[in-house]
Amino acid sequence: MKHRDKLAVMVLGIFCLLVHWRGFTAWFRADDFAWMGLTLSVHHFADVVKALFRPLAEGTIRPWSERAFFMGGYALFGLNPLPFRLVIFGTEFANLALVNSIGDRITGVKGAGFVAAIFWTLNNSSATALGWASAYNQVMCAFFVLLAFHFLLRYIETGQARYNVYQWLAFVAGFGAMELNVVYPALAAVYTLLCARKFFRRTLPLAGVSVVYFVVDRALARPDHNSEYSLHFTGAMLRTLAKYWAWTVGPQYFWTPVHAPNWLVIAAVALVSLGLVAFAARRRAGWFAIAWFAIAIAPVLPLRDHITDYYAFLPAVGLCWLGGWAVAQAFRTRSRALYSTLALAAIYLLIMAPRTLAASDWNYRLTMRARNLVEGLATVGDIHHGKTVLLDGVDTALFWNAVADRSYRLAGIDHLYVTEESRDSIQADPDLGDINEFVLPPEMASAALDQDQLVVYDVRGPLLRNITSAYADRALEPRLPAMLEVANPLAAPLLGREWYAADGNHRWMPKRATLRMAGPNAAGQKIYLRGYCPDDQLSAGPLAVAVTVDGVALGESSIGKGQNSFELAFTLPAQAYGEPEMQVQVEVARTFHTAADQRELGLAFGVFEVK
Amino acid sequence: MSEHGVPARAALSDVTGKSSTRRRGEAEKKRESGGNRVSAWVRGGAHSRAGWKAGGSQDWLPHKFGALIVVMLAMAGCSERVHRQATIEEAPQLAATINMGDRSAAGQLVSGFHDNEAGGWRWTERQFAVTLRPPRQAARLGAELELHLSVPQSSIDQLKSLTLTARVGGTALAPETYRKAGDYTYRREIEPGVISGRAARVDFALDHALPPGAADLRELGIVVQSAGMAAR
Repeated sequence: MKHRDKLAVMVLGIFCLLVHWRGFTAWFRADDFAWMGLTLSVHHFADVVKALFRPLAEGTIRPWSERAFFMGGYALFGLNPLPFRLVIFGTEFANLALVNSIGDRITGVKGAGFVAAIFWTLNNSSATALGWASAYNQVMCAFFVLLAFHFLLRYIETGQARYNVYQWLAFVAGFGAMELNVVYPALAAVYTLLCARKFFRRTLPLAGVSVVYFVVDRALARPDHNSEYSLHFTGAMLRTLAKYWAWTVGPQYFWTPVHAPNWLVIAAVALVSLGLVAFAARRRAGWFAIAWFAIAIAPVLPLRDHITDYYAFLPAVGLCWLGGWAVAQAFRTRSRALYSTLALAAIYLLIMAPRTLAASDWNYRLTMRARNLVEGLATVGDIHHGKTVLLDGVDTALFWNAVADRSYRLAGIDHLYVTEESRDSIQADPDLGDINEFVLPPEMASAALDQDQLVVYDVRGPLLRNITSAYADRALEPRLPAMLEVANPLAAPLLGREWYAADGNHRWMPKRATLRMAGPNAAGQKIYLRGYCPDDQLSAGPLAVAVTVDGVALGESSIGKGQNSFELAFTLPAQAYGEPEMQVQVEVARTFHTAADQRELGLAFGVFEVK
Repeated sequence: MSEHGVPARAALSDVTGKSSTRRRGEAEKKRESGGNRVSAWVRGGAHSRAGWKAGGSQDWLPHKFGALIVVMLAMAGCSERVHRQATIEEAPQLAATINMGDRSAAGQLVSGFHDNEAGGWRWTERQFAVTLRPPRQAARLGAELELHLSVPQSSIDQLKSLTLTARVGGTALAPETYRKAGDYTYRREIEPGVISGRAARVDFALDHALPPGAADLRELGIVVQSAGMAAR
């Protein structure tokens, strides 16, 4: 690398740090805790492989950018954000170097890449990509795509086969970062078609890899059927494309710090867009830059209901190259277009930078709230070891960013709930999770307080405040839960004496066991039994399971071979509707025991739920 | 963990590690060139700076950056897994259940208890008393008193039987008589209205006890493991 290039990269790195300082100093939030939490389930090498490659989160498999990044980082450094940030920003510095280098190469104008990298750094999409650790997949995917494209250009320039090999290696490795990598063959094909026709055919085999990846990924992935991620191959895709374009050229949601009217921001976006298209119209590489945006954004266009700023992170590079080219070209030729180009660039910076800084700051503040909670919980775990924690004063942002992904497990807390009052102030989001899983029914809270098994903390301030006594003095209306995790120590008072002691996250029953829970609150509801039945129990054939509620038999179901993890459902009788309490009895046809465990074992249960 | 919240106890196969297939020559070459960059920078800082001024070798920047990352990572790695942040705790409360081995709750043993023994139990005198934190709403719903105790063979041998009574807030609870040595739980329900406030004193009494003697200068009643009060 030449001295001039090194200097450019250093300046870009410093500029990136200045713009995204809030991102560099941010902590963790939301999905970050879920990814790090995978480490807790790893005990053997087989667990590592499973954790790295099992489809998760809408069936995605991103071993490098999510699994290895978080699990490795957490295993080595715990909840220290600095190593994570160094990796994220180190990758981004490499991205900036590549954007700089590729920009100069494809435009043939020195400085075009540098200006493009400046534009990209200020783009809204980079705020979340660099500030939220879980969006590292975007940064890493961009790295592999840019790296592969860099080697393609080197291959075209030199004709040396090794660069083609490097391109392939970078491209294949990119699949471990994110599935968006499948678009690379299209990028390579369009570029060679427009600017290096001789190499076009040589890029086609790349598409074969993408096709194979797509087929295998679809076969392995098990999407969560989250409605937000539903694919809509309709005219809505064009609206989504227009939105992503507008939010790449201008600020997301047309937000400005001075609350400028929407028409003004839209006019500014239209001006910049016209300038870009007009500049690209007469240049083949200009069309490629626009194609880069269109191709890289294409996979997310069917996601009509999940439009996210950082999805434009990689696509934005194309438009930034175009903008950088226009500015550098204008400076070089000193043409009449210089002032209009500079004016458009100024408009872009003026409308984009405040939103990027604000988004970065917003993310930072959220992560700080999560830090206060999680680091406070670590102290709570030390002081009140083994006790269940109940949080009061949790609002929507804190819940979805610091509670829902079970951050507390990383702080040494096994069981954590929020008060009913908190639940009422949290905005529900079924696509993110079920708040009710985190609400401790009053009867269980009351019993736990009496048994000194529960501590209550107010999270409204920067420091957690113990309010156990004050909370205990509140008149709690006794009500049984509609969902019972039988291994939860707080559930013990609701279980019959026949249950065995809790064993991790499950509890064994003998031949017959009873428990108390709330009756259904709507007609036609069922009781769901979820648990585990080992092969030892099924070796004698299917196992019959009978359930009665308040003496009324609900019928019989059976667990067959291969159904080790089972879920059984029984329709509840009409007379149980609205009952504050119902007595549930479960009975299995036979029991078993092993050499290591001489207890009479029926089934292991995790959850009983009425819904 | 399975999707139903219960761990599938799948047998874990043995894993044999395979050595890296990276060619030795390449690895050595790498160590020569890039692998020792940090130490080279540490050793030859002056040389590098001279090179920078002279416009010669300018590889010192990556060296410095690499060293900085190594130092920062080392610092980060040395720190605790989760930083602890202060919390605002409330004043210590009375315990609802006192385990005799728990020194932090010893202040709630009002009278009649001898020193803590190694196994987490205490001998009592003929009369002994504790203060317990009653359950919430005990005034309205009542509570349940539990005393986990042992009657030693030596006591039965000499005294034939022991009768234990208890009083809470001036109300006497039903007595219980022990005629055999062994472990017992004295469990009595306390009616609503008997307890008020955040502390409840419970006075226990035995009908007789082993008097001080040559072997043990203490008056010995029964052995207690824990005393507690819970919601009914």
